[in-house]
Amino acid sequence: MDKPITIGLPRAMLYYRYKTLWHSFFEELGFSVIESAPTSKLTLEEGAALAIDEACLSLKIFLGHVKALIGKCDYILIPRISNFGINHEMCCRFEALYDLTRNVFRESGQKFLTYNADMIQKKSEWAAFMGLGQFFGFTVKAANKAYRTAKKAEQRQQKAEQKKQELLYRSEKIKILIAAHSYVICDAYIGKPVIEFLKGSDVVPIRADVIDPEDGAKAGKELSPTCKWQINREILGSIVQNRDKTDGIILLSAFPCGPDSMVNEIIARRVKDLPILNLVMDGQNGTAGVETRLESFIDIIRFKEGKL
Amino acid sequence: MDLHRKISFPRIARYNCAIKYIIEMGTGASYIMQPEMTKRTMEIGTKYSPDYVCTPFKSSLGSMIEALEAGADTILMTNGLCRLGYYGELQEQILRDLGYRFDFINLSEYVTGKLKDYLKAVKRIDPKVKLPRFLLALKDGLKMGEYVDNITEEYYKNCGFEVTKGEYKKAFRQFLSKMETARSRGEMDAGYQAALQTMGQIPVDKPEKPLQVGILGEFFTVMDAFSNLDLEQHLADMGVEVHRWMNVKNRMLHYSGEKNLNIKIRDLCSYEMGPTSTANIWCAREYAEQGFDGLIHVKSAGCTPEIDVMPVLQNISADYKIPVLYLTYDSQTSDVGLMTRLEAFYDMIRMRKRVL
Amino acid sequence: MEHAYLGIDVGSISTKGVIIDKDNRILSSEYRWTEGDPIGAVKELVRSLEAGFDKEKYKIVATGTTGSARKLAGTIVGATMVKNEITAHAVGTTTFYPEVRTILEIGGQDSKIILVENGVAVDYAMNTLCAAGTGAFLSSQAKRLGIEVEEIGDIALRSKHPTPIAARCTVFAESDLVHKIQNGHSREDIIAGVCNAVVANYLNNVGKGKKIESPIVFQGGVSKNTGVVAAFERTLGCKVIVDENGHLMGALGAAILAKKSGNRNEFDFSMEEMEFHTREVTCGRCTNNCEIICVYRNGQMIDFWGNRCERGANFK
Repeated sequence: MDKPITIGLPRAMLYYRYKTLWHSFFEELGFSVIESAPTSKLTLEEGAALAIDEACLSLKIFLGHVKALIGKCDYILIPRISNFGINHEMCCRFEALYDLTRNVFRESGQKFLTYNADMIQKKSEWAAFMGLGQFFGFTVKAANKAYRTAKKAEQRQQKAEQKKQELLYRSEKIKILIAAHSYVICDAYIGKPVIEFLKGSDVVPIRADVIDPEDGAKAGKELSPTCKWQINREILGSIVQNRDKTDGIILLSAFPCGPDSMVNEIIARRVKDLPILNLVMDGQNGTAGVETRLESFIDIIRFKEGKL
Repeated sequence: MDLHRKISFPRIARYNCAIKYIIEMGTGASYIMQPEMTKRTMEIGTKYSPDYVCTPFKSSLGSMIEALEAGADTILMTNGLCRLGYYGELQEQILRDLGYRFDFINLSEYVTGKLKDYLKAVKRIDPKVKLPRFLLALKDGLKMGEYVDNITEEYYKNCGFEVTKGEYKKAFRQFLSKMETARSRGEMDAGYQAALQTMGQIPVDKPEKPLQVGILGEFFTVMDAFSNLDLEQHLADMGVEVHRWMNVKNRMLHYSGEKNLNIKIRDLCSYEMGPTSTANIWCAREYAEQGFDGLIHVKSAGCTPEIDVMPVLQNISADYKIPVLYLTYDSQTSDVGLMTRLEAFYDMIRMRKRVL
Repeated sequence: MEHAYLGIDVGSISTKGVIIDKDNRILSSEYRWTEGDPIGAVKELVRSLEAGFDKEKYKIVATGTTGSARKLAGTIVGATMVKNEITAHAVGTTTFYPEVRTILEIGGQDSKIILVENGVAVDYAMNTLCAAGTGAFLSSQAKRLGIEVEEIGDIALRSKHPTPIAARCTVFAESDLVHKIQNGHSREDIIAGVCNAVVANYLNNVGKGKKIESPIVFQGGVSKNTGVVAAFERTLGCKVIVDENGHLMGALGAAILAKKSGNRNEFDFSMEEMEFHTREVTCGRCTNNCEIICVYRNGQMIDFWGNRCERGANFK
């Protein structure tokens, strides 16, 4: 039998949102799926050398991950995800991601795989996945079966994550809601150190991005009616639903994130009942500065609650 | 109680005369024209804006404050396909926190996918609005926008070559002031025809193959002379034929569509990469193929879609051996740095032309 | 009398001057700190140039100025040519290195890259927003470490394991630097790390998307720093040429451009004795509040600039 086709997933950006869906779909169809290693200083350096200097940290990290996969797989998957309907949009960067990466790596000879999700133009995720199947010669029936299986796996994973999170709110310890894109919060180089530091300080960090996308987006309207970015709406929704159950909020963003630059300002102006720390990571902050800021933030909360 | 609204919209390039026309001729409201943007506009806008938001947010916030100072009681704000679509809500919040009292009509609140829902916003401007009258004023106002674009194009292509200094500028000014005072389609048509005629008669001394530079980039900064520190004028003054496809006429009123443009650049990009990305990439290639001497890419600091277009432009630059000058504008209003880069760019393309 | 040509390059940090003959041979040259006083620096510079120059044999028939204070310098010396520093550097360098393909330049506040084909500049870039990776960055870090800028090169060359330093902007770099010092990294390694950071920053900012081809000439104030030269050679994997007159390239370019232009105006050394001063006036005729710079010679206004609109054009 032929060696299976290998699909490479850069461990960055929407990987954290779709990893279960992607893995499951391709494995169901008999592909082999590989991932780049968690972000390291090298990933960031290589990505920064490839990206336009003014681009956001997340894009630099993404390009570093793509570079790590070049030549190691048959295709690197980079979808173009524009929106899930009107006012359920993505940052423009996700519309550009496939084409921009392709242009950056034009000389590499690497093949890229893409699909287009754009509900405003009536291009659904389902149709996009059928297209992927077709590209590799699968029948719609086979592709559909793989997609359904993958979708179920995705839902199971989401439900399990949400359930686990519910338990965190029952903790007696200080609870801090981390408002951040999943690719910031889960990134080994950017978000992980923050999470680990909080845990080590006897604080329970709770991810605002773990929420049912539909419920979250709906609830988010309450805090910001015209916010049109799906991911930010979910985070806003999480704040609306959980602000009573937490002791503080950390707005964690990757410099200079377009949507966050505005939505975090709205949060800071409208959420007055909780202490808020605005933490902008540029990948070079050095751990010392971040730790000092986190420590004093925790002290403020403890002081307020009479626990210091 | 006076229900008659005094409406204003942030300053944008040379289009406020058309917005004024639509409001005043189409509804019962009056339009407040705040002063043109100056250093002060940028200073107050920057002072109250979050740090790393894109620059047009800051200047339009400043311009809103100047509109309120000029007596407006209602601010109208547009929707947009990038961060622009969220400007309104945050700007309103900032102005309210500053203590301003006004009504805010944010078109982003009316985005449903159906154009006719925007009519609800029109009803808010004037509850007694007569729809046919409004639609006619809208049509004529957009025509005025198109006239402004035609004359602007004509101006920058030729003003660098006029024999008597200042003639083009004089004609351009006259035209703009006629547009600002026009109260009917007839008046605006007459003003437009007069400008075409006047400009057509100004003697120019243009070489057979003048230096041609194409300007492209972010929708607002590329069109707004204050925001780009009068880039086009400086270039024209050096003796360059300045071309800019990106304007309201081409991108909004007569846009041939993503698909039609994308066909010509499919090897460079498969999808629409951002609100003006397809147009800019197509336009860059078009200029390169026409043998332009250089391209200038303009954006405000932090403009996501334009940053993402840059790798594609770099490839076009390599393929066609056409130099591209990338300019990023932040809230600084000094043109010292711009002039150094621009003069060097001009020297470079001129020397290249002589050698090639 | 033979004809000679004067070129003056007034940068934020240093002021350079050169007098050349018709074959571009250097007759006199001088280099000094600007120290925030471009007028004083130019007068001192002219005085020193005069001392090393044979006024019996030559007369200066054209003068070119360049650098960030090119306009002011041009006004006070009566320049026949005022040119931006990018063009001046390109012209100066290609005159002496006709084969050059890439010019790297790092000065006090600015950094730039110029790509050359067949002796003509075909593409260039200049640093965009911040001053990271320029001379100012290097000297502020040296100050923090308590060493002289001139010592950086020798100390950096002693390092075996340069410390990685964050260099995206001065503020972040400083906090990172302090952190590294507290963590016990050696001074050599930290300084070599700063040199690497300057190069990494330069290549990530102005060098982005540019094909850097040999021969490469490196100039500007920072090219005197052997630590940075070594860092460039390490990163680019090829030789980098540093001309001993590299710091004069802008002034040389200005002199050559003045020679080529054909405009003639005999230079008058007596300007050393004249009194020049500038006055900044706010126009106030609209809310632009343009800061108009007026230049006075012996109490008489000889030029002004800075207005953005016609309202300030008749400024007196």
